[in-house]
Amino acid sequence: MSATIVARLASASAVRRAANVCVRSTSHFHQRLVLPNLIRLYASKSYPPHTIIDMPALSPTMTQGNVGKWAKAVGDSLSPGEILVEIETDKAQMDFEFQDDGYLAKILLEEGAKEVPVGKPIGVYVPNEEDVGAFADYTLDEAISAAGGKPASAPEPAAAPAATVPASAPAAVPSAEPADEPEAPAADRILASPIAKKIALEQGIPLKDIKGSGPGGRIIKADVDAYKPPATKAAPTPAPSTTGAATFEDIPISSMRKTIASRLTSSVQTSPHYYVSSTVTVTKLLKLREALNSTADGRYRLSVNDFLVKAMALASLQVPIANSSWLEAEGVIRQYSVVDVSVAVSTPTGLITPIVKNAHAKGLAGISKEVKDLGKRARDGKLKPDEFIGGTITISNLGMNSAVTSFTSIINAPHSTILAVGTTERKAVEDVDGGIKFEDVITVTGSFDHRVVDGAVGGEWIKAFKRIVENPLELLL
Amino acid sequence: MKSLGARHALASHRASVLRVFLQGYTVDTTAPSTFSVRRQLISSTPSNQKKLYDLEIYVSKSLSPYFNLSFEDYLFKQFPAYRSEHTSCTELPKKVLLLYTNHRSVIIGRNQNPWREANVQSLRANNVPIIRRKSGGGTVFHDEGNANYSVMMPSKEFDRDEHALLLCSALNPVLSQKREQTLLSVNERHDIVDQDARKVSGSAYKLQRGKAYHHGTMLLNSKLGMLSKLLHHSPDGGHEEVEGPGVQSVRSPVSNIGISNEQFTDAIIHAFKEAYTSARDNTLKIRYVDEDSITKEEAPDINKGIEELQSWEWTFGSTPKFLHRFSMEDSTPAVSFTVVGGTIADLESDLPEFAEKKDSLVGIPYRGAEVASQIDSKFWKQRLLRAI
Repeated sequence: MSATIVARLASASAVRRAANVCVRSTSHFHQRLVLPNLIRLYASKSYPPHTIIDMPALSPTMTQGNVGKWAKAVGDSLSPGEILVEIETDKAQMDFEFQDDGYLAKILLEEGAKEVPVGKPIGVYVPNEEDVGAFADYTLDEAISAAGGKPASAPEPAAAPAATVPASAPAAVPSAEPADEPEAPAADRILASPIAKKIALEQGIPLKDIKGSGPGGRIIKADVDAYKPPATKAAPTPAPSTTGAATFEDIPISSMRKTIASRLTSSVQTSPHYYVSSTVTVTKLLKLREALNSTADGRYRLSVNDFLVKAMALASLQVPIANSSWLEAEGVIRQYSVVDVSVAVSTPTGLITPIVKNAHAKGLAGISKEVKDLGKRARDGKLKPDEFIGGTITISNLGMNSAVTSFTSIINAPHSTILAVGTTERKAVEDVDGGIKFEDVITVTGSFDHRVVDGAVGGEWIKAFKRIVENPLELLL
Repeated sequence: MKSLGARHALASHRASVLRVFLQGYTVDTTAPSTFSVRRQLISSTPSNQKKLYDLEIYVSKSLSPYFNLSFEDYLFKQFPAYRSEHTSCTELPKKVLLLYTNHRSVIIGRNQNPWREANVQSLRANNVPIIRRKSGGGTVFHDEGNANYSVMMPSKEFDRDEHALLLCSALNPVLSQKREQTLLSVNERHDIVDQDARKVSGSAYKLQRGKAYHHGTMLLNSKLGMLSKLLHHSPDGGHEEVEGPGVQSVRSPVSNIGISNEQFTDAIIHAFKEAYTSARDNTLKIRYVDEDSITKEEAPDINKGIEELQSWEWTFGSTPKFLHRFSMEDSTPAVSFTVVGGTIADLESDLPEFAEKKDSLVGIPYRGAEVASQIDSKFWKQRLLRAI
């Protein structure tokens, strides 16, 4: 159905106008307003030269808005800087200031139209006052089809255009037919740029099938490039919204994601990270765990992570430089004498790190209970701020994921160290008497902030950690 | 040639602007609830630099919602429109904070339908004015236990959450001192909620080219029972329904935070001062305003604003076309009015008392007294007088 309207621009000045609209905007705020506004300029057989006004993006994050009061009526003159219509989005009331000269020819969406997506046509303006009357029956459908062959389908939410669509369907059809005619005479003289001709020749695309978007209907390189999937483009036009949904889904950025994004980005960009890996034998640790759990009687249930948290705490007491914070503004490196271990927990909404305070002084059962409780409350979203803000060192354990042998973590500012723990693997190692025995090993990778922890010191910390884990009775010391 | 003293002053001013402040405000917020997300603002910019402004603070001593909203509008009109992307490095951008409290009133958003949002009957019975503000969003109930704040900023600085988070960080220490478990945070709808996810503050915004404002409420010691009565519709021997466009309010359970107006004002002013002005700047002046203290130059615009806010045309007459349906107790439809621009454009009814009077009703302003005067039936006279 889409009426292919050849872009036959009335005059060179019309082209200039489109360019001017973009150039004239100087404010940061306004640039956003004009550029994605998709103000298209075209002339069709049945309508005089006009421009479609789309729902503008009045803020960088705006995706849709409600149409409020139109400050101008059909026939009113528009000058740059005048408020055209009020838009409301997400509790924000905004004035849409139009930036061009002309006369308002048609209001496509009246006051009260809700949830109009950015880019959807809301009105039409014309450069000449006498052309205003020609748009009395202009419909939203025609505006959309003029934009690029996507006829408005039933799902369009706005009530006003839905009411006008059935009434003007007969009007739309006759206007489509005369628009088809100019194509025939235009076909015998195809204007195309040399590069467009070259590319079309190489691709085997017949020029007569390409719609020209350059001046006077000239085919330019961009048109040839855009022509590449011809057959598939025609098919989905009846239901453009559903096709779009199949290829991607837009998940709005939640505040948790924003927080994670900003914190981790700033951490990576500010602290010079370096990584130290170590393969740690945990055979003895696993045996100790089994032994302790067997006599637990329900008082506790230790996990490997609990041992590692404690081991980290003790290693941090032995190498306190890794348990410090770079505090630039205060001009100090704060070396903590206690170890508060932040344990990375994955929740449905995102990553959070509740803290086990004084892990160096707590017993394994205490650590175990606390980690379980904090983890549960983190997933329920019930943590108090002092339970996740702070800490002196972090552990991130992906051991439950059997595919992750090792990984690196991003330091949780303002800490200087984070330990990334991989899964347990069974490795064959040489035995003391020349034979082969099997050991359970875990690969841990520590990320250190080089501003605080030098390479050798990082290595020392890992060495201390390894020593404690491989001889778990050192936890008693 | 600049004097040594002047050069030094300029250099130190520049230095104070460029100095790195460690995490000018560290905001700890949490809302332990399964439905809201915790906002944790550790550092606002990667370089930990405090953004400085030319901060102006106004505190209104008037309780008149008309004066306060008009004054707010006036301040916004006076606020410079920052159109250029490159603001001068020596001149700080402006930020205005206005604090005010209104006596009992219901304030609806710019694009709302007052008949839908509030229980007009209750309002009238309790002599509570209904006022339409200039910013978007939903309906709120104001009384002297509710404090309002308004922050104006250049439009490119516009952020829905920044000042709400600042408020949380300013109030949480005050609240924890009372040894209550109140911890405020900002939820996904940009509202400030307490630890039980009850709303204590709602926000609304207005953006224009170059400038924007964010204003919000804060329930300190508000009479919440009254709020419920005035904002919720209650059937009065029948049902009423409003059909039409207009922003619908999102209802949330609410709660007071229980501090005094003075404590609130002090905490906010202190927080803004700390966050947005240099530590060494002692020039911050707070201007206290009310109807008597505005200048002769300010008065005409402010008074004009007051008149507009009080006018029926602005509050009720500017509502976009809607349908107001009335039905009987047994839900049979009685009459439905189509109201356009505040006047009755059409009415539909099977009841003779309306059908007969259709000609005299169509075209009159949709005001209780006028509509009621056209009807003979006593029952309907009463009902319409209270409902419209």
